[in-house]
Amino acid sequence: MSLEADCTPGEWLQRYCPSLDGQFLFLDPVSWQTFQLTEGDVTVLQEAADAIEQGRLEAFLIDVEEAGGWPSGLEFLVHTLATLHIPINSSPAA
Amino acid sequence: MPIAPPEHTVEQRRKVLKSALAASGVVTMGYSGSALASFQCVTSTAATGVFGFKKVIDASSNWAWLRLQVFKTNKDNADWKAVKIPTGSNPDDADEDTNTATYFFQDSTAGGNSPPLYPAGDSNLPSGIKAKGEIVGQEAHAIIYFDSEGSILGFYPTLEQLSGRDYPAQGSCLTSLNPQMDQTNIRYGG
Repeated sequence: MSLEADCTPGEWLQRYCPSLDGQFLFLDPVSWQTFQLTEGDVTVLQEAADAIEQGRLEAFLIDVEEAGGWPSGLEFLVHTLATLHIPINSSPAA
Repeated sequence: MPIAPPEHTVEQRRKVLKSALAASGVVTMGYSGSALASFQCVTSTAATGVFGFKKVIDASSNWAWLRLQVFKTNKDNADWKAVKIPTGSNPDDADEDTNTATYFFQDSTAGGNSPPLYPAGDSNLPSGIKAKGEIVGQEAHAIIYFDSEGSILGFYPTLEQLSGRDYPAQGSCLTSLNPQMDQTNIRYGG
């Protein structure tokens, strides 16, 4: 089975984090493991995807620390999202 | 340069983030072939507008559609035609007079490949419109909604799609999820 490797983090969430019976199922783009998430988790991942695409992931990580830190398992998923394709016009300058 | 969000949204974002983090609950489900297959089924839940009904489907993708016979109407001088779509979940009911709802559409160049479907009694329809005999060789297609296990739940537009419950499905996925599915009246395309 081939999944689309060209997704941005936001597109990945749209395609591979569907709502199923009130929970969300997330497919890790690196390991292809699946994770059951709450709506709160998905909100965090969506915020992270925006931050990644806009080149401000580091600021986002600081925001999370200031908001009380990472709950178990979630930071890992943000970093797997960060491995995905980022649109050229949204990448931070080198 | 990184794109800095406007200052007034930063605080709102932090508040949302804080409450979202507090409501976290990640559960590892592990690697699952059927779960992966189900992702292929549920990659699109947008079923409004052009995605619901098409006169012609092509090989650009592999969605599962219900094949419908097209019927003439008593208003066919204005290109009005009809289809009979199952009200339940059985694709075998398509085109029959029972267990179906009749929908009308205008088969014109201006209407394109996905003209709007109107139920009987709709104010956009000519008064007194009725379906007549079938037009031999003319077919149309309505998208099929499945559950996450690959079973048919219903059809556009007789089933009102609910996000998180009803999913269009790719043929490749159905092969994995529901290999025994009856293929009567089912076609694959985009």
